This record gives sequence, C-alpha cells and structure tokens, in this order.
Amino acid sequence: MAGCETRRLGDIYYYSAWPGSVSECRTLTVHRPDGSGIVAAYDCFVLFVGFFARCSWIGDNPSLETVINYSLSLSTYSFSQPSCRVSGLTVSPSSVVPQGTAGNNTVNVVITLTSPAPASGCKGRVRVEPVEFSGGHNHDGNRKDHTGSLDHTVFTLSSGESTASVTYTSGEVGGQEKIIVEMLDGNGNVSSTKQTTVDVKVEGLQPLGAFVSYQLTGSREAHPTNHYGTASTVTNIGGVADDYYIEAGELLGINDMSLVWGGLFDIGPPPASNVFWYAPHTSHRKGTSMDIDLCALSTIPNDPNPQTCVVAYDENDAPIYHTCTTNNYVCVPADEIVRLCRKNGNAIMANELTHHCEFPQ
Amino acid sequence: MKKYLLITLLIVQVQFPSFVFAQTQLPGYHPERLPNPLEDIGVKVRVSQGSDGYFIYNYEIYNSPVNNGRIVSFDIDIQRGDGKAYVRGDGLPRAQRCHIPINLMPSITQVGMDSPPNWNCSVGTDLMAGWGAHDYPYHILSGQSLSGMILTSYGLPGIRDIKVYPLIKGSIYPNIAKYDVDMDELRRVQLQDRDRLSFKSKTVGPTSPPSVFDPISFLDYLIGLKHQAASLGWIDNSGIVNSLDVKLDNAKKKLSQGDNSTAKNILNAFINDVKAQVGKHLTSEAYALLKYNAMYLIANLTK
Repeated sequence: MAGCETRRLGDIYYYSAWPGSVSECRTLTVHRPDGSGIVAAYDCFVLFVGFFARCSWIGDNPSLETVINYSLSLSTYSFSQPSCRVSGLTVSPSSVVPQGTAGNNTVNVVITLTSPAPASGCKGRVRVEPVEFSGGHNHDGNRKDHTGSLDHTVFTLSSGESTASVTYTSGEVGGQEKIIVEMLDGNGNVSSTKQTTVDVKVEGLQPLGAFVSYQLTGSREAHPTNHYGTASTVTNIGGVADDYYIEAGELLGINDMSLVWGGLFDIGPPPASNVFWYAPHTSHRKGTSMDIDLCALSTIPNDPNPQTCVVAYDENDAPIYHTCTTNNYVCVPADEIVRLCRKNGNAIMANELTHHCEFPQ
Repeated sequence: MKKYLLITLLIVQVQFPSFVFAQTQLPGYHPERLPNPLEDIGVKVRVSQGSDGYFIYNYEIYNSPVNNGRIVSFDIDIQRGDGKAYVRGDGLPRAQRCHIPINLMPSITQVGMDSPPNWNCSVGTDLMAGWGAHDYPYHILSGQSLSGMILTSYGLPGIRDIKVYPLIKGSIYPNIAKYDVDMDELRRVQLQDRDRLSFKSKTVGPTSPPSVFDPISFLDYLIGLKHQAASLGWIDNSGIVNSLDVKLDNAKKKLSQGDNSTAKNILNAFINDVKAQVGKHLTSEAYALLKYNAMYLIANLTK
C-alpha cells in the first residue's frame, strides 16, 4: 500500500488507497457531492445499489478513475478519464503591451494536469475573455471580439504528458483578459476548469493631474479617464500649457491623451465619429499623444487675442480658420502649438482636426 | 541611344529629385509641398549694456528673397554648460508673456525676454530661448525682416547656435484620422524635414563665464572668440585680425609675467581698436564679443 489520499472526481469525493497497483486498490469510499458524508464504501468490483453507486475499472489500467458512475436522486454523474484535470495555469509574463505599441505582446500559457495523462490521453480547450470595463473602457459593445488571440484553442496531451502550452498574443485593447482552460471528458463535456488573467497594458502611464494652466477636457462616460501619458509626456504637456498660459493668459483644453492602460483609444458610440472598439485614432495608444482643443479659455477680461485664427492648412495649402463661439474662449493658432510642442519635448504636430502633438517615447 | 538614355535620366532626376525628400512610405505625405530649405537668413544682433550692468541682446531676422518659405520661429541656445558660473537672473526685464520655467533655470544662462508684437517667447526643454509668431499673419515672409526678439542677461556675449524655422504646414503630412499612419515613421519624417529645412547658424548670445576665473585661460578664450569671429566673417580684414592678434598676444605675455597693469593697458588699447572698427571691418557681433569679454577680463584682473 503506497498510501492514501483524498481525491475529487467532479462532484464526488472519495478516499482511496492510492497510488498503488490495482490489487492494492480494493477499497473505495465515496462521499456525497457536498462532502456531507460517506455514501458507500465498497469494493470496486461490487455494485452497490442503494444510492446506486458503481465503480469499476478496466483490466490492468491502474487508474481508479477509469469509469465511475454515481447516481443520486436520479441524477447521473458520469466521469470518464477523470485524471485529465487541470491543476495549474500559469502565464509568463503576466503583463504584455497592447498590439500596436512597442514591446512584447505574447504570453506563454502553461496548463498543468493533476497527474500525467492516461493512456487514452487528455483533451482540453482554452479561450480568452475580456474583463469587462477594464483598462479605462467603461463601455461594452462586443469587447469579446477584440481580445487577444491564441495560437490554438484546442490541445491534447498524450499518455504520460502532464503539461501543455499555448501562446497568447494581445490585441489592440488595453485591459485585463481572462485565459480560461477547460479539460474535457470522453463525451466532450467539461470535467475541470481553471482561469487566470493577463494584463494588457503600457506600463508606467501616469495621469495628467489638474493644474491652473490648463483644463482637462474630452472625458466621456465611455472613457472617463482619458489623460494618461508617459512620465516625460505628462511633464512636457505641462510645459506646453504653462508656456501658453503665460504667453496668452489662456487655459488650453487638453483633450484626449491615452487611456489608463494605453492601447486602442476608441471613441464611439454612434453618432460619434466611430463605433466602439474601432480606432478613429491610430495614435493615443502608448502615452505619447496629446490633443489640444481649438479654443482656449481666457482668463483675461476682453482678451485682445482673436476668436478666429488659423488652426490648420487645407490640401491646397490655404489656411483654415476656426472661430470660437463660446464666451471667453479664444482661438488657439496651430503654428504656436507647433512651436511649443517642439520646444517642450521635441514633439511633432500631427495633421488632425484638433491640435495633436506627438511626443517621443 | 545613349543620348536618349541620358536625357531620360536627367528628366527623372529633375522630376523626382530623390535627395530632396525623406525616403518614406507614409501614405498621404506630400513632400512636394514643402518649402525649400531656408537659405541666406540674416540674423543680426545688437548688444548694449543696461544701466544695471546687464546686457541687452536685440535680434533681427531677415528672410532672404531666395526663400519661398515663411519664417515662423527662431531659437537660440542659452545652455549654461559644464564649468560655467550661475549668473544672476534677478532684476532682468521680462515681458509677462515670455515664460522661462523655473526648473530649467539651473541649466541655462539666466535671461529675461521680450518679443515683437504678436510674437511669443519662451525657453523650452531644449534649453533654447525661442520666439514664434502667434498666428499666420505675423510670419516673416521672404524679403521681410523683423526685430525685437530681445534677451537680457548678465551673461557675457558668446558664440551661440541658432535655428530659424520655416512654416511647415500640417497638411503636408497624412491626416492621421484618415490614414493608418505609423506614428514612429511620421515622427521620423517630420523631424527630418524640420531639421533639413531649418536654417542653422551662429550668432552672439548670453553665455555664462567660467565658474573659476583664471586670467590666462580667459584670455585664451578671448583669443579663441576672435578666431571664430574671423572665420564666421564677422571680421572681414586680415590686417585687422593680425592687429588684434598682436595686442592679445602681448597682453598674454604680460599676464604670464604677472604684469597685470600693463596687460590692462594693452587690453584697453585692444578695446579701442575694436570700437574704431565697428561698422567698418567688424560686425556688431564681433564688436560685442571682443569688447565686452575684454572688459570683463580687465575688470577681474587684480592690480
């Protein structure tokens, strides 16, 4: 007798003189599914018809768990190949960057069984699910269609194998994602399951805090925290806004930067410029982007700066003027933002409807 | 056949001068709309001394008619540099609209700033003082000039790097909402364009003196300034250069012999020569460099 251990087969707990040879395993104690007591103790070759419990195994297969049928209150619990149970699920690394940003975006997922696979092998499947509302996305809308992907979703283990691995590749969306593994019995039913999470994020993003020289704008219910950036970008944005405030006495409206974990910054929903989970922005993913509103709030009574100014140039190089119509708001000229973004962190200005400065990584 | 091939090659070269544009696959990029690189930009500075002893640097920028681009901004290096003293900045006149961040002050030669009407000014993390047109109507068009970019500083006149930037319209680059743009590539292309089209030169600007004053080292520095002024074309007569050389060499000999009094007399004569030649064979830049640094040397020599 090699020892005793308590095992669980699905809903049934039993005590077994195991591991050992078949001949050593003659006594099986079956507990109620809720663990409230012993249902029957019997020799595995004997059918006990009370609560109708039956235990048998085939030939010399040393697995106690080959076939066990257990019935209680007309419910039938069927367990075949019960040794194909997942005991461990690890991800390495546990945090990756969203696709479209620089860095590693693949994860090695390792699935470990409680014991090596029996001769008939084991089969399982794995899938990815989003953790809703994570990563700064306070909205739904088929997020599950925009998660990361797996190189395969079904896996098998041959006799004696106890681990399998799958490669996860992050998608564009930042946030937490669940990796869920399910082991299947011979009938294709789920016999055991385990899950873990992967963080899909740009590390080190910091919030742009409120300050006297600018206003934080652009926050919407779907993305309430839209002002995250790298440490240097946050510092440089402060520099741009401070310069402008001192030059003009006006508070720039700092609009979208990045979400708390970076990645895709969708806007949505209709009738806004696009639907959820698709990008009107190809940037704003890694904490280096800043949009500035075309109009700034003036702190100067009767501000002499014009409400109309050049905010861009059209495809024929002609200036495009914009007029601010809200009281106390004056126009923010593009060329001055170009200069200030250059002087505060060597940013470039992207061609967009708003003023968009792109800072170095 | 060869003749036709040559003509074809020439046409291709004229129509697609590959060396002009950044090599990139950016969709929606229109390099053909870029202005030509700025050339022959005139940057003049007049340096005077305020009543409190600080220097006033008044810059004038001239956009040559050869350029088809508008000038939108002008930067001058004011980095303090290693081994340079921290000059005081209190009391320097500064227009309210000019922002000099406090956190940058240890890294720069302290300055005050002012700007022409409708131009803004600030010191950036690039450690350059800069001015820029507030809006489209105030750019410096080709053939035009603009003065009134002013620095005030206790920093001595030194030779400084400058950059003058043309207007580069955003519409030259892909609209990032319309095109799937690789932002890193966009950044690379824009920075390359910005650098290639800007005008880089040197002028005179505030410079911190050495943190440890050594008369002979400083005189060597003054001699170096004179050499650079000549090579930059700020002294246009070799006879004058030689004459100034002789005086500075003699002053150095006297300093080496511990004869500071005679050295001072020679340096005063040097200053008189400089004054006599300003507007003739010395530009205002050379004048400011040589006069004020010689005066600083004299003022710091013991008797």
